Amino acid sequence: MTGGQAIPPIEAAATEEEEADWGALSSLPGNPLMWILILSELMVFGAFLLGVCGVRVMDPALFAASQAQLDRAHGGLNTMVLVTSGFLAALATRAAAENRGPRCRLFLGLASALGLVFLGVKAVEYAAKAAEGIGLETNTFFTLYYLITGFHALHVVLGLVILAVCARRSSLETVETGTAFWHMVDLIWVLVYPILYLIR
Amino acid sequence: MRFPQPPLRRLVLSWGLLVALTGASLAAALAGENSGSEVPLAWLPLLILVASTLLKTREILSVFLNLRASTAGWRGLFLVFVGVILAGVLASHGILALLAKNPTGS
Repeated sequence: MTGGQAIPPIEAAATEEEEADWGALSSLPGNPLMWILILSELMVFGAFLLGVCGVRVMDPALFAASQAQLDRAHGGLNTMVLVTSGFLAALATRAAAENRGPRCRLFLGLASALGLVFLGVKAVEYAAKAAEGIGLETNTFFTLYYLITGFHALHVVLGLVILAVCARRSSLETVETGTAFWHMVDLIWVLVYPILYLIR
Repeated sequence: MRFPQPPLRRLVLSWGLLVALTGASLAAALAGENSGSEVPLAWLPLLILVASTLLKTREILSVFLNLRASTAGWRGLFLVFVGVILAGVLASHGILALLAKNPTGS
């Protein structure tokens, strides 16, 4: 290879930067692929929640009777748990930006612990419903209730795995991307709670 | 690209607001309930609930997800998504209120 054919270091870096250009998505913090995921998840859960509104219009009596069996306090407690967890995840991102690895891991650990509390409260709620003989096939409302909250709980589990990965590799981009997923889980629950539990 | 992180004070303020709005939503839902009706929740508590949900999602998007460091277009797009879902809630409540007033549809 001649000297003229080799790519000089500055040009090579520029080429790398060009390859990493995601267009408009580059103006979002963290990895752009995570934002595509967040948009898709918002659309999927949005369709589910609009489905709940449709069921309510089609059979308001069934909807009201079923919804009355949900525990609003459990849902409220879980909302506070998840927003507090999101706050701790945001503090972890700040710590990563300041290159404070141990502090970042501490906040990620606390955020994950609250994620486990969320799953614990959900398990108590599911157990209470099961004891009353309420399940996925009870009626359309409960089918949607279990699909939405179950799918959301799966996202919480996946989020816990992602936060654990972030704690191992606490670079700013990894933490920013991982906590973005966690905030998405938080954002979706903030929409699910009033629609399923409160608006009667 | 490196994005500026939200200041600590702003994060604490957002967290406090999210917790307070969750409490307010629960209180509005409990206080505004009219049992025995097919549209039990009155309009004012419903609007409080929808407004507080919109505020909560805005805080999570702009502060926790740090969209405040991004462009107005992205912030607007995400808020439109949330707005469509909440508009669906208001529309279904409106249809139920109309049906409750005029059950025969005449």
